[in-house]
Amino acid sequence: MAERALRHNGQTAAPALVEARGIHKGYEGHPVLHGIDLKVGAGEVVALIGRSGSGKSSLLRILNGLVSMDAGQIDIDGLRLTAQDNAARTLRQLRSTVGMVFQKFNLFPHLTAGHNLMLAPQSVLGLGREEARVRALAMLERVGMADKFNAYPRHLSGGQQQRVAIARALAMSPKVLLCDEITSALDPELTGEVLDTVRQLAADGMTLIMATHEMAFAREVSDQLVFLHEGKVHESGAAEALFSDPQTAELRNFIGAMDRGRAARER
Amino acid sequence: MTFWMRRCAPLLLLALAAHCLAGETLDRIQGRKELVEVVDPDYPPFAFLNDSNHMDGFDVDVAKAVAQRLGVRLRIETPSWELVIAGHWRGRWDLCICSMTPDQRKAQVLDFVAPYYNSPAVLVTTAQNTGLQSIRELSGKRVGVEQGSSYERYLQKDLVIAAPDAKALSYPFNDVRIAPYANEDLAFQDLALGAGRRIDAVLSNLGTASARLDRMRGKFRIVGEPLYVEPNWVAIDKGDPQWSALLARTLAELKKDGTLARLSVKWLGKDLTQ
Amino acid sequence: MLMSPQGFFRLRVLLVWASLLLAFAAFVAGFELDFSVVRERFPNLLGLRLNPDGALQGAALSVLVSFAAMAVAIVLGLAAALGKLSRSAIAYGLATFYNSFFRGTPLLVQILLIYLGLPQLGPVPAAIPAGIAALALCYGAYLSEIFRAAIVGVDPGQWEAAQALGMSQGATMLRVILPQAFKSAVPPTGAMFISLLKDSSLVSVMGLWEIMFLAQSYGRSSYRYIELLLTAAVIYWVLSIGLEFLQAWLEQRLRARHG
Repeated sequence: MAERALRHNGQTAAPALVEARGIHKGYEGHPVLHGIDLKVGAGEVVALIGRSGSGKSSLLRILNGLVSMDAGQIDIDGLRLTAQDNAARTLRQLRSTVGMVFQKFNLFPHLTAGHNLMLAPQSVLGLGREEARVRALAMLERVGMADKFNAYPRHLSGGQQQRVAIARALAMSPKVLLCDEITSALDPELTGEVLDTVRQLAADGMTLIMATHEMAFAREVSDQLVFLHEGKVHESGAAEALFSDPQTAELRNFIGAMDRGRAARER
Repeated sequence: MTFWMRRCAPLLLLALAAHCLAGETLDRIQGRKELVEVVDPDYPPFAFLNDSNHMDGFDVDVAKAVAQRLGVRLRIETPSWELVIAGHWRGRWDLCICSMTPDQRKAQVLDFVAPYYNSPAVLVTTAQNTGLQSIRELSGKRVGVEQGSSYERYLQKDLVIAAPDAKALSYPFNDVRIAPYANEDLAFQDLALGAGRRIDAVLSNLGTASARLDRMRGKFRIVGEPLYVEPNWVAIDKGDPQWSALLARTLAELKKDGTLARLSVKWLGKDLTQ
Repeated sequence: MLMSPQGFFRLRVLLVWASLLLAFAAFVAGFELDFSVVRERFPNLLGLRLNPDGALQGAALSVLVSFAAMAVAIVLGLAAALGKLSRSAIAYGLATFYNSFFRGTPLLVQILLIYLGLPQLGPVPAAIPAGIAALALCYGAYLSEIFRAAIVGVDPGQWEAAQALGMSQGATMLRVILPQAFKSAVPPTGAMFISLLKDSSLVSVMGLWEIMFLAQSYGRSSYRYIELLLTAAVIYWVLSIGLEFLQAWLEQRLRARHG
């Protein structure tokens, strides 16, 4: 059922587009998320950082209903999702508001780039063939891949495939875009084109929640940084503040490890 | 009567009639102007597929004669033997002139109408094996038979001939070893390797043995006199006395006017229909 | 260089085949066989002529029954595979029962259950439909496991992506999963088809004049059993090779499309 979500504090000037409260998730008795609260305003860019296994991917997948939560509540653009109320219809409505881009791109290999983009609008939104094609072309242009409309994913580089994946998510006109470590599977020289695309999206006002290991990029682009550690939000706030003045030892260790890793790669 | 009773009543009557089966076969035969006969298709000279791809043989010719008497055409079906002797033909087939010997088990699901020829059981060995003169000499030797056949049961000393005038069988042999085969051809192939190689002789019926000897001259020979005689009856699906009566009359006529005898001589070399 | 490395390889493979065939022919020649009887009966074995009752016979009949049964088997197999993957207790129960029964009982029993058993309930099936039904039910069960494995073998990321785009389960299965599962299902399905072709000989118990029936009958009536059986074997072999070509062509087309 659609209910208007209420503002709980006056910190964000705009009403929260995404509000998650008390998210708990465990896999086979092994807990992963221990009560996550998250608030994202329209047009905000939120970066989720933390070690592998800290629950970033699980949280993102809960936000678009790919994974069910054990307890908690999510309000996205007036749509409420709880641990008990997760009917297929609610989930489908949720997913038309929330798009996702994956680490492994997950493009449909048996379809061309263009058809990858056309499939969901035709199937879910009921668009006609011509309409869907026009929209697909526009989205590919937006990510700079219009000339690859008829190419199959296997003929594209990793960076190109990920850009097509972003365009595919955008083709459904989502209000929020979730990015699950979308550059982690790419060779270093290919991450640039993808980050450029994300940077452009942020500039265009898209609401982004991205799990990422790209610290420099997160620092540059995000409005809010959320540091997850062992399934809890350890610290959150403005990116610059967290980086220059980490409050907890865990975050300090994490940033240190990231810096050391980057230095090793650059040597 | 109400609308529905008028429609349902005939259906109920039909259901009852179907249960009785009386006259059903005749209706079907006359309706389709066709008599459907089943044969075992691999049993020369009784039934076999000839050079022009037609079923031919003694059984087939007798069936043709019956069809002619009834004034209808003949269609031959070749389902496996197990299906035929299982009964419950469901109107698929009308009669079986197929060299069947009656027994208790078959009589539970089929009606045996009348005998139409006799099968003498003979021992066959290779032409070179001139020493063998009777079954007595086969102690300790191996005799090939078709698995599950009456010939196998005879060697097991366990054969009961289901004919009213059947005499008790004597088993003038001891310690004969039985070699069962899926079919007779395989038995004869092994015999052709030489008496004593795999088997020493084959027990089969005069009809098929003679046909084989004719085809493969000089390879085999029949040993002594027939050991016993089995009657072969015409069989139909159980429960149609009208059809049984008509068929019995037709067969009697064919016997009387010599048709059966003529066909027997044509295919079997002598008259075995008495 | 007269020939490329691949060309040379293919030539050597051909030589191996040729020598094996020659060896086989020599082995067979040692049997003192007389194939003249086969020549007259060959058109019938192939089914180029109808039988005396005007019905299809020989290889033509075997091929008809096999193709029809395979088509139905594919539909049944897909339904059962989806049933086994379903969360509905009814669908899962039906699918697993069907699989277990039709893979666990002999095909001959299944044919006879349909041909002899069904009439107890009323309808009396003719031989060809009964044969097709039995073969389809039997092979559908085997195919369902192949299809299920192929579906499960599709990268789960594909499901995630389609679901994340808001696609329904049905649309995801139809437009994303099945097209990809199809590719990996082709080789084992092809093998099943070849197996079905040979199992189709069992329909002769109902009196159908397919290849084995004619070969055995001619063999018995002409007393040339082995010659006729060898001929039947060669016919089956050629038909199987035909199916293998069909499979290879299909795999080639899929590779060109999906890579």
